[in-house]
Amino acid sequence: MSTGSSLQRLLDHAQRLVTLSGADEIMAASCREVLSLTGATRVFASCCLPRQTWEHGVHIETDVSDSRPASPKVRSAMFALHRKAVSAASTFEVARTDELAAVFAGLGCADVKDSIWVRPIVHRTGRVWGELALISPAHPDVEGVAELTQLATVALENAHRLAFARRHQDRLLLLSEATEDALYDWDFDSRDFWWGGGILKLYGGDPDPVASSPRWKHDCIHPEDTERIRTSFDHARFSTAMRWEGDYRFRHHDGTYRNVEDRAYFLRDATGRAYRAIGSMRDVTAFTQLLAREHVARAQAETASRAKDEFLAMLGHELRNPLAPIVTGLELLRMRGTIDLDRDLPVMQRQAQHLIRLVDDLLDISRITHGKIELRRERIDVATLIAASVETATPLIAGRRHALDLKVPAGLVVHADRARLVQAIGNLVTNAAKYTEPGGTITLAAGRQGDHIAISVRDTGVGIAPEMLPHIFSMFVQERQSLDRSQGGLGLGLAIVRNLVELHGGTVEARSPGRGLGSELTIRLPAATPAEDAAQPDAPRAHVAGRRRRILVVDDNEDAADLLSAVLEQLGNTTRVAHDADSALRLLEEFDAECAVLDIGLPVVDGYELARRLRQRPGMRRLQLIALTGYGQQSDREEATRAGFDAHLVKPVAIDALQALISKV
Amino acid sequence: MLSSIERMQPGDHYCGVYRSDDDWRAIIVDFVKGGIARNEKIVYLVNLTSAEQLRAILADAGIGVDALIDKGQLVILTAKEAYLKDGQFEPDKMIALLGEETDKAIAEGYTALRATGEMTWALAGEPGSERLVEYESRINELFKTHKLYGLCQYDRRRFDSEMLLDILHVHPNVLFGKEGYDNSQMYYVPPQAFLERDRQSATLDTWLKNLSARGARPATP
Repeated sequence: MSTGSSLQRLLDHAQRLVTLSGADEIMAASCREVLSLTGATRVFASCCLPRQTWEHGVHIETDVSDSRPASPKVRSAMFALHRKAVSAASTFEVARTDELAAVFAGLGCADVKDSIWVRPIVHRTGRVWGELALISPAHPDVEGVAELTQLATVALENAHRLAFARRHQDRLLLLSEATEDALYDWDFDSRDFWWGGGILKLYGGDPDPVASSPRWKHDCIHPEDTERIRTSFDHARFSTAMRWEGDYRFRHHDGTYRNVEDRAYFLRDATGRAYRAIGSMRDVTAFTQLLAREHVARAQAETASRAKDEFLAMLGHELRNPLAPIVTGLELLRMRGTIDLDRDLPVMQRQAQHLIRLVDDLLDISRITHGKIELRRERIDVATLIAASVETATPLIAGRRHALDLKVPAGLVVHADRARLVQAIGNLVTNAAKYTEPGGTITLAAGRQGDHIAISVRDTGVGIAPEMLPHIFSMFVQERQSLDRSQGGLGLGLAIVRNLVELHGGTVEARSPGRGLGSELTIRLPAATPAEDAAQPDAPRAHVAGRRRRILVVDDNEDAADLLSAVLEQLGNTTRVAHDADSALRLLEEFDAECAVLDIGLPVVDGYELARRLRQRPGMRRLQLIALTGYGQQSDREEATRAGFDAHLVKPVAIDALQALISKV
Repeated sequence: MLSSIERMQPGDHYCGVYRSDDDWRAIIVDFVKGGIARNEKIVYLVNLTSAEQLRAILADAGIGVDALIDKGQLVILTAKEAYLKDGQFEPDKMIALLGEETDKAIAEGYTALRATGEMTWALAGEPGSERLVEYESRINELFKTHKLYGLCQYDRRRFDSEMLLDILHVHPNVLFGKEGYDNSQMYYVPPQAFLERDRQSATLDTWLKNLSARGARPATP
């Protein structure tokens, strides 16, 4: 058939086939062409592309009137022919045997003159993809069928490849749409540069500048990163590496830079030369920032933890310092049986006071941290505040022979808690005295600054290093060491100052020209407005009366109980001592107490429970109950009140305060 | 008795691939003898052989065929009577039929049903015959729950290699010549995977799993 017009016809058919993309269309067109070319009465085709099973394959039947999907019977018959075709290389005629009667019936070859010829569709890999079956009374044009089958095979292969490529392309297209990463494809030879994926998001703004050139990408790299990235990329490109990775800053539309992770894969030719790079860029700015913040937070946490450790070590040391002379004094007392009231006792009292101050500081910082400080505000003249503050530090100032310079005009008024501000300013003055070598000068000045009153304490002392200035108001920080560290302290003073001042709505600031050059600490407080009425002044302290009271002291710490009892006796009272709840209850049966001072931490039955039991006894309802504890939280006070206590005192107890309470009975 | 036949257990689904008539004869004779020895009901579906030829072969081997048939322990049917009951092969119906026959055999006092068939019927282009491999795969589920032996006979000389490859994928046990082989961890692909749309990928995944289950090759000393 392959000459002249028949050749033209074959070419036309081939051209038609290449426009078809579906295997069913190709098989139907091929069947029709075979039908019209060979004189066959019917043509059937079956075809299973790779990864297709028989039921998912293409099955066509064609007669003079039509091409259509094959009926189930035809499919079964073609399956039997396929079994024979897989072992055949070329066209064969099917013998009409009993064994294959179903095949002949299935393909409608009732007439014995009809024969079945089968032409396998053999892919170039040798795999039989399917077959054509021709029903013809005469011997068909085998060569023509072979040529048409060959064309069908090529068309099927192309369609299959195209479908595969299209699926692949769709997948890449969707991936490019879905990903947040910027994608690029760089052909080194043609200098074609393609951007895809999230490049517009990474670059932001107007897409025009997202130019398709490698130059543009290069220009967007931060100048400080350019050389490093170019060198490492070229090194990978001109080696045998299959991939390259780089981290750098990539310019955004708005001129800022994004941190990106760039990963490229190289395509190499047979000589190993890279001719193309395909890569992705991921914006890791948020991650990088998070990481940096995490590093800072970790460093801060480590510093804080170190500061706390150092503080605890120092706390142990500082508590031990005043304890040593007290213990020594007691030892002397034991050895001598007496004590030097002029020499030893003041030492012990001073050291005990020092201990109390340390513990007070700790408790203050704890209350401040937990927001449990309540201010009792009143209108106060700043001059009186400063005078009271200086008074607390006078022994230290005098002892270190400092000159004190006061520049405080009258008429500066703040609305504040007197005791707390005296404490804050006193702390500053004490610090100035401590951290200035003997013979220095301390200047206290106050003045109005707009709506605020500034109170400053300047010294000629050891000064503060510039790097420490931002930290000196933090807890546990103690930068200004006196030369022999003889002044000690917990490093809480300035933290307390800041917190107290901030509670008043003020600020505190430190300045120092540097180490050894003195320093100036300034408190700024809002000036009082005329509308702010003076708060009710504190009720005058109850007068410590001298009337004898009958007092029961209950504490399981025998020393503490005996000492307190001795002091109360010294003040003219009659006392009894018990060390637990049971003995306290027994004692009260014979001792008509007016007042009972109960330690809360008693064994077995605690102070709260003892108070409840006492309150339930007839005749005990009027007994004055005073709780004595190491816990000074508001909740502890409330618990004491609920248990029936009249008052709650925190250890170490101030004797004045205790006597004042007792005197109310 | 061939040891390969001796080792068969209820629940075994074998494909018997043979290349000579002698091997075939040895296998089917012992398969029937094994059933008699274990008091099992035996169903034989002929296609290449006629029922008469089969009876003669069994009788020659000393089996009291007539008595067996009379008492109902041996049933000989043509493959078309069973597989193509309504003129069409339908896997669901065939699987259901085998399940019912097994239950019936147990009810009759036999210990199991032992079925074997000459599979050449599937080459004849009968309606539905192209679903043979699907059927062979799906019936594996029946063998898990029923006291049923299956021996599907495939003549290597008549079946093309493409089809036998599929057959090898769907039988967990293989009788090749006269020897029996456990195929469950070799080329067998369970129905859940084999009946996937992408049979090639499922087969590949199963084989790679089998491979890694065998452990890595030890280092050369």
